[in-house]
Amino acid sequence: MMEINKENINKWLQDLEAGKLNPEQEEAVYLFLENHPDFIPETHIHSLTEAFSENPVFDGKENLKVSVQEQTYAEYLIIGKAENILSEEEEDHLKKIFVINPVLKQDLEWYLKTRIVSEEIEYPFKEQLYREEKVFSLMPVLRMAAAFLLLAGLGSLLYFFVFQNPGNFALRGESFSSPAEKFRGRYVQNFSGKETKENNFERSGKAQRPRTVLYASGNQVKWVKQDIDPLNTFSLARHSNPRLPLFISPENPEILALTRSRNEELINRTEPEEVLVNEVSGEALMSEVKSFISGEPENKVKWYHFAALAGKGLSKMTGRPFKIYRLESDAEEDGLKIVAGNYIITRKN
Amino acid sequence: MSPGEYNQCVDLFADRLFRFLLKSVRDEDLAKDLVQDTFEKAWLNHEDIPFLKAKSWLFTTGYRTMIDGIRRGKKMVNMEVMPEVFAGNMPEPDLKKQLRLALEKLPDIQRSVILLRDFEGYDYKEIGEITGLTESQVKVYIFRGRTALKKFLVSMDNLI
Repeated sequence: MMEINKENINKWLQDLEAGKLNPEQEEAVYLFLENHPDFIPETHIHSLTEAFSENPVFDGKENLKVSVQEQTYAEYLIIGKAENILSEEEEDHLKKIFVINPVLKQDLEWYLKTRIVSEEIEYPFKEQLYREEKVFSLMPVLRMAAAFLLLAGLGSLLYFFVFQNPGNFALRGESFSSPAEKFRGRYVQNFSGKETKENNFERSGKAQRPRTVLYASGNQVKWVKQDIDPLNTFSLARHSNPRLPLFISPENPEILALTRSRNEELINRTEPEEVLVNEVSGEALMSEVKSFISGEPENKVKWYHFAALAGKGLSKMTGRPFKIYRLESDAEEDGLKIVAGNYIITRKN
Repeated sequence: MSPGEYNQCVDLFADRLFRFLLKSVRDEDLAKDLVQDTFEKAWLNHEDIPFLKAKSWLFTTGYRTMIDGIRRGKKMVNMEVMPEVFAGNMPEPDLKKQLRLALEKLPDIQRSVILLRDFEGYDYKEIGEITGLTESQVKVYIFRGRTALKKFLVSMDNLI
């Protein structure tokens, strides 16, 4: 179709008047005149004015509204498809829309592109967010505990055997001159000096502590044991009752023999038993001395033991060391005599 | 949750919460502060927070802390001032770059719901719980946001 311009508009107007134009051509002429009002012929001004003021009704308005709604609904379905939230019914509906209007598939592709791809972004100060009560391994704690126990054990050994008894620590293989002598502050209690047997050494003044037991052969220490020998019942008894005196054997060389020819005065001398008053119990006669004098020991060993108890009591009362004498056969009497300071106690068999 | 579970939450969600807040406020320092504040609150209340709901709690608290911060007038950076962490050191594909630009142009609420949807995969109901919106509102904001993003991408495509 020929294009309408300023040169040929008059020809178009003539054709319009003659009714030769089809509706499209008429529409085109009116559009040209609307844009170029100077070319509107005066004869047409009235009719055109009437035409523009007629309030024309567009017949397809309702269809257009439906069309707009359907476009919105289609967009809803497309976004819903991109969001993956459509029901089966909506999915079917969208498929039909795509069949009718395939161009809309491009919209779906665009909407799918609006999905934001996740990025790996790391929070840089995560360590500051952790709290103290984290799950942690027990191994370091166990190692520390083991090290602590080891150090504590070594420290205890050092304390008990070196610092508590400097110079009193008997060593295996050491020798001593006489079985009856003190050995580094300990007393030999039951040692023949001839054969291998158990010998008890006790720390001076610390009888309540577990004793050191030396196993010796001759004059040489063969083994050192820092404990009480459970087989030695006397040791156990002494451990449980520290007030018990030292065990004294009849063969102990510390017990001196009295003979009438050499020690008559001492043999004859004795003290009235009544004067012996126990400072602790207040009894007229010390229980230890009483046991020594009037007790009925089962055997000779027990008898000497009673003598040792009495001697220790006397020693405590007088503040003097005590000695035990054995009456020899030439003294015409068999028995024991205890001397502590001015007090002398005799037990005759 | 126990202290051990709290620390597990740090491992699992600190990065994700930081990513969400960073994309939302577009200020790295502010996002770090928000993560710190959120986990501080989580630790104070850790005995009352069930471990299974910890993630939702963290995002809800993080989002609300962010909104409070904005209301108090904390700065929201200009789009031009983008921290390096966004781009990283790798060259971005064009689409990704355009999408990032488009996302920055969205209103805050639309950007937040789309980030929660795409980054964390929350459904509309969960996003509603986090942001305090109804499910329908979340849907509307997401649809509007998607439409705006699409228009932006199409216009950029036409320009090219």
